[in-house]
Amino acid sequence: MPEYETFYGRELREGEPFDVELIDRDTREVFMARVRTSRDPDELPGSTRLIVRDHLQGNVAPRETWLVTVLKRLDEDEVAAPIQKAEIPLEERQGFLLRSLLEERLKREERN
Amino acid sequence: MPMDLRDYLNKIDELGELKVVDQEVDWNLEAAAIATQLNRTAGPVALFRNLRGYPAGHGLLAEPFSGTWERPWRRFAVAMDMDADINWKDFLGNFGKRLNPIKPTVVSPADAPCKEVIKIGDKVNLFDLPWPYVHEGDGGRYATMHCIIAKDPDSDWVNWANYRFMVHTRNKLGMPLQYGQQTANLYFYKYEARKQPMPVCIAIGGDPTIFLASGMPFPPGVSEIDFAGGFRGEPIALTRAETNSLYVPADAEIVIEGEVRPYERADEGPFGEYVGYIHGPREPRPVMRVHAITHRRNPMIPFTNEGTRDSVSTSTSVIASIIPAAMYFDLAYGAGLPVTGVAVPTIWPWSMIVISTAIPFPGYIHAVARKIFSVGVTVYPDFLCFVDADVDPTNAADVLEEIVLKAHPLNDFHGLGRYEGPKASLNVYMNNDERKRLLTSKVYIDATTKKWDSGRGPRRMNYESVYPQEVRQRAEQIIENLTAAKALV
Repeated sequence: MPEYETFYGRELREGEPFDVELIDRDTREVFMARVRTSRDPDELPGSTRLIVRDHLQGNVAPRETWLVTVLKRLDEDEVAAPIQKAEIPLEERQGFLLRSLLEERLKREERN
Repeated sequence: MPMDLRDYLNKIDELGELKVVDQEVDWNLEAAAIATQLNRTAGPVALFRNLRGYPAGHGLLAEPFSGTWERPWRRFAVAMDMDADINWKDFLGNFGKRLNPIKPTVVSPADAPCKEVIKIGDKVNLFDLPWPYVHEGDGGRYATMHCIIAKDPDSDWVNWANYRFMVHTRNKLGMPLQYGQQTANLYFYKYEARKQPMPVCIAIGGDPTIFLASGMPFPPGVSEIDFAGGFRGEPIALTRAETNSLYVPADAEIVIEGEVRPYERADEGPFGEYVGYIHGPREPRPVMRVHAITHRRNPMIPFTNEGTRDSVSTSTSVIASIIPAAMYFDLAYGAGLPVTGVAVPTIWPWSMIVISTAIPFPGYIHAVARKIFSVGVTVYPDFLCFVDADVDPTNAADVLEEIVLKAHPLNDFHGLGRYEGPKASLNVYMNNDERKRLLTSKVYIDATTKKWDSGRGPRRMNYESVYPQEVRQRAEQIIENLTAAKALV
């Protein structure tokens, strides 16, 4: 069973499904997936190990043992983050820069 | 004579400095670990031809241009058809004479070895090639020795540059383009601003002078491939790409063709960079969509272990030493300055430029420092150090001694205040705000001998200068006749 890595700046979610970028440790291919993660093997039977790395230095978080079940590998068109296609270029947002950025952020959070 | 990567390896082999590894090696850290150990001992160049999961013959070439403690530039001298044992000053002099552009020629795709295998569209799979996973903690598999080719949409200028890239998927690469670098400026200020994709090719292998020239800070409008021809002394042969209108080196090992679309980003990094640290954050950076891969039969991917600080040198630290040194040496000679040597010691890649010089008049150092920091190459080094004309600028230990003994702590360290020029964001001292805004400062150090008020300073001591010849002879004779301690018992 393949093992995965991820770079994550925040606490991973436990229980509910969410989208995250995974790295296949065998090929080092990077892809987005809808996953369920947990630290408890009983919560995720049949899951595989997920190594969580610090996105600043690449370190593995100490004493953090995570498990992951990949529910679905996402196509690029389904991916909300981290492939972010800005809807409007920054230079064309004069007068509504903050408002538009905030709206896009809320949309992204809703999608996630 | 034309020279591609394979011709170069034959020359290195004649010197006994190429080793072929036919035992299975893993591209996942193992090849890089072997390369690091070879670097630490100034060992040979290693060609891995049996990589886990790949057909025999698909190769990884470790550190083709790293050198020795005494002569980090040695293998690059061979790549430029110079004598392997040439000294640093002669190397720079020879290099300077070749700083004359020669336009490339174009050959038919049928005559281009880089077209021996062609994969387009759905047949493209970057994972068919054995990209190395270089450092534990890197964000992915990286390529570090290649050139990225992109054209200015408003002129005939084609920029050739060298920036790392990360393999994301079978047809997608991450490119950490940074404002201030020429390819990045083309993308952010022209293509993306016009909502157009930027056609791009990446060439791996081919004439080593292409890799060298693509790292040089020529001004916008100057095509580095012309200078690669100048270094070689004849035109570089190019051929047309399969899926866009760019031209690529005909004898490249691998050519990747594609485009960087506007406003498309994917997470990239961290990566162990030349300064010796793994740098994040992993953050969204431009993406290259790959439309075609062409390559030679049995292609090889040269790679360097950037950031392995205990190494004698790496292929990129050698380049980082040669490039600014050659440019400033040429500049200084052209201006008639009494400079005897220029170097960036390879253990401080891209970090400190050292200039050995006489001091012809008061204020000379200040004028030269300001001139140097006005030239584009200082996007990387923040430190400039002047040492006496008889100090070897390639010897980091000697330079450090000059600084700690001859530079006045108050008077000889000159900061240039907040420097808002283009800046590589990899220096460890930079905080997050400075990284984002590419802010830094520049310092130059006067570590030359100061004249005291009397016009005479202290006298440098060494064995020869403080012991007369007859005393030295007797001392050496006594040393020869030293008796083992156990004989006294």
